[in-house]
Amino acid sequence: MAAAQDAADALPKGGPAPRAADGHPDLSGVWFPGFTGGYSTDHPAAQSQFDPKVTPEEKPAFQPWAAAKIKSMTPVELELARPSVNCQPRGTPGMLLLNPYPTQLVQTRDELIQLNELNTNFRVIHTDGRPHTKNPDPTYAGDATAHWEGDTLIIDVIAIDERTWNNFVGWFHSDQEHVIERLTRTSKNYLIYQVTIEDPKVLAKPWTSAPRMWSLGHEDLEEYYCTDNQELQQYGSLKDKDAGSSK
Amino acid sequence: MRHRALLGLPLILGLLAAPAFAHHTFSVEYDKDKCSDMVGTLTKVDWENPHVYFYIDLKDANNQVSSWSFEAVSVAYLKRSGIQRQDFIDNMGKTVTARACLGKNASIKRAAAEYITMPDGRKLKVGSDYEHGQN
Repeated sequence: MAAAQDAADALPKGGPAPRAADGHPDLSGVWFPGFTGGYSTDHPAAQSQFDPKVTPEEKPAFQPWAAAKIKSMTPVELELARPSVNCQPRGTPGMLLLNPYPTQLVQTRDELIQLNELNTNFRVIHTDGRPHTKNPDPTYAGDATAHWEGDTLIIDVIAIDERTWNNFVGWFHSDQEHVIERLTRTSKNYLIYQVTIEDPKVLAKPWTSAPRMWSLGHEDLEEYYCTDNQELQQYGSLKDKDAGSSK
Repeated sequence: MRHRALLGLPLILGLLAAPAFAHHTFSVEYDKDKCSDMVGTLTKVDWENPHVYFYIDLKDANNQVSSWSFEAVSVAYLKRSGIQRQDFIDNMGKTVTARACLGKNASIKRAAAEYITMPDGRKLKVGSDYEHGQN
């Protein structure tokens, strides 16, 4: 019944993707994770970005030392270390991979501007073919260069701040992380995001996500500064109790 | 506006891979087996992120009153679910019922709210339905 309701709520394709003056697809829009172009507390399944039965997503294959490091953390330690619990920016690729809130894309001739509701932050991706910055400083968004391959925008990102995680359960990364993002507007109402993460220090092999679906909404972004998280008090009080337990 | 799904969409049914409402793991902090209706006087709302908090004065078995903090989802989630700050402001000082789950550290007077029922009978879904598997 719930699944039938999900299908009934899905946006139609809405026709072909609009094109920019230069002929490339125009990725501009306010995009919501999932398939209804919006969300509510009454319908959380609408945010689902892929069906694991249709497009299963592999688990990251960690180097033994990295797997051991993650496994050594208790559940409370994991919570306390989570960037999301600490109001840290999701960064790249978390701003699209781990983001339950809408994101607005604004495409100009030479840039793609991403405005994230979550944490009220942004990134600017140059699409004019310029190379990576020389000796880039690490940042949450990372240093990006982008180009079109057919109708897909390929965003190549390095120099990502090591405080970001790639999942909610401890997938940290090294200074060698290299992220390749693919954005494809498959129709007017749907945007597909797929990312490959290379990190030879932490991963035994590169990891590629399932194609993640975003759908076109028609609302303004809300202001969302993450400020006062009372959970830190609760987690802190549980830390001693939790110490020594295993996952 | 709702639409029928069209053939050719890559997925939809039975999906589990959604980003959750919350940015944390409910089961680490709260106990889904300790959820109940908590009745008291609404005294305050903090309209902020990552969670909206509202406060209710509750009486214990000895008629001692203490203030409890109830965690809801974020501002954006509530607003997109049709729930406004004004819904709380309009009911300050009135008796409300929160359906909520206790924290694992019982010494802290906090709970994760699933619903709040206002004096006019409106039952607002302000959190995940933890008792039925949402997180």
